Amino acid sequence: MNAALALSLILFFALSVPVAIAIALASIFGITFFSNLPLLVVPQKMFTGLDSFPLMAVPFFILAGNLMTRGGISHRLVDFAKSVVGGMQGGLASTTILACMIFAAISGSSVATTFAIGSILIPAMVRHGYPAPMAASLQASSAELGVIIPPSVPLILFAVSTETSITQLFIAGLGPGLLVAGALLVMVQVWCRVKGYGQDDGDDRKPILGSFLHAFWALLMPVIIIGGIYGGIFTPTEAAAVSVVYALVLGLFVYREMSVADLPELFRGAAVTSGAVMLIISAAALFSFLISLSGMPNAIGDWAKETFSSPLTFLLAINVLLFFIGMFIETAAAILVLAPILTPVAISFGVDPVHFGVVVVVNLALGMFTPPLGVNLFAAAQVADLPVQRMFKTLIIPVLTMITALMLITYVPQISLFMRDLLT
Amino acid sequence: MNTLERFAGRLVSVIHNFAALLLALASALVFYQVVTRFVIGHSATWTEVLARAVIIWMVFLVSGPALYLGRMIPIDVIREVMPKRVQLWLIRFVTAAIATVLLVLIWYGYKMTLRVMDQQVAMIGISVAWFYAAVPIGSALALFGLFLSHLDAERGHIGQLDEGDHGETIK
Repeated sequence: MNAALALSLILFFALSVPVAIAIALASIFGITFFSNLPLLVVPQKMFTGLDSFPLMAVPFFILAGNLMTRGGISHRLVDFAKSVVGGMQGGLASTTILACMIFAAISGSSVATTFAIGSILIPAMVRHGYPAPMAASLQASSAELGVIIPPSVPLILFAVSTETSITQLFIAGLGPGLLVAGALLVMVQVWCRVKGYGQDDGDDRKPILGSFLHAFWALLMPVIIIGGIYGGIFTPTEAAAVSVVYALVLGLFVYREMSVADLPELFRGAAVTSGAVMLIISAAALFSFLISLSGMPNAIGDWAKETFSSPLTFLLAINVLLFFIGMFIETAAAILVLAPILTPVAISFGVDPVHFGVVVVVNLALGMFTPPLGVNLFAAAQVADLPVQRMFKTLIIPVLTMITALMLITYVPQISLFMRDLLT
Repeated sequence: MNTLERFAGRLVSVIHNFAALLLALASALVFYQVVTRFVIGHSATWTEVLARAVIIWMVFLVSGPALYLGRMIPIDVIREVMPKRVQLWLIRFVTAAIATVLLVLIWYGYKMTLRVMDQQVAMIGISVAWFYAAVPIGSALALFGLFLSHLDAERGHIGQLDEGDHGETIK
């Protein structure tokens, strides 16, 4: 059963069957030929997999992201970030990282971050003499902050598929997010000084106070969302619904950069994007039900115990495995299929599931901008109007920087856990 | 463009609009839940149950438009480097795979809906079958989206094969 499930899934992926369908079809195949379960479990498990209140944060955060990108929030955040870090050498590159970091705190997706920030800053960097492939690579790598810094769709998916607390994962994502942002900022400083990029980035910089006031309502948003979740005022799902309404109010009435006529297209877009992700979640619920029936996590756990002598080598192996999987497989599918299998094994090695979730998500976030398949890569290439291949060479630097940060996050659990242990 | 195709296109678009409305409705319900907690002091209990049902309906309904718009996220690295004739057969295989899953969901989803007819949803006092019906109905309507996307793919490919650049990969 296990081998049939795994092999048929890989086969369907390779034959370019859409991810959600491939997972469902592999499950149907396994049920029909390798079990005595009735096919009635197919609709049943796919239904119950979606019947979850925490999961509803996913469509809401995707919708809020669409509304914010359109409603004039992103360029205010960019202006603010630029007024803070734009003055030094490599100021625009640093602005990209800081703006992505702030946007990440109100959006749960890295693709939304790439479009929202990249469409403003990639052309600006190119105008200031940065090579287009470098600008695009930098944007593609900074955007991964979107899924590390809470709110984060992948962290929600990890939480739901392993029954870990979303709130704790959201708290744990903050430290690693700041570490990654810091590492990228250092990287940019060195990079720009060595290559001589970005000498006069600060030209049209606005004063800090002015741009802060200009962006005030947008900057208040992460305070409400993250503060509300950490403070126990509302659940992550409620926070997501609040951010939808807040983004609507800002876009329609405060900034007035969006009109009611724009809404149908934004809602239609969010419905399809979130529906496609939710169907993967639905199919993965069926798949992981079959996997858990067949006892695969235990089998892998026993094998891992014999093979890896310590949690350190186990985590290294997990990181290598996820790095390669992340290069090819879509993030949501990777989390939903692998997290329920690997997390019990990690726990048996004494790894905190919250820390493990952060490691998995940071690692797969790296896969979002590593060739050949990375959603951020394609998004950034589209914004920069470049063929993806031209970014490959300049991507080496951010990828190495991120691997370093990932190793720190893996082997220093306190980076993820100190805030949680402080708050709980 | 024949009548069936025009009808399918119209239907998929209407379903897409309806799904977008459901997403708006679900956000409004959960927002209302937050508001009632702050204003009245305790949150309405039925909003959570209803919002979950609304999202489930949205997801299964939007599968048709997602298929039609090619938004179902395939991993197509291998397909893209295949000769065109092989790509065409891969596309046909994928359509058959999707149709199989949809047919299983329609038939067994229908049987599941009948089976839960007597179970009541807590808080709002209606049958769970109203929730489960999203699976067979959404999947049945998705067949129209699949039909349209397959037509597009076949036409695109046949068009390109006629141009005589066999073996070259499409974008």
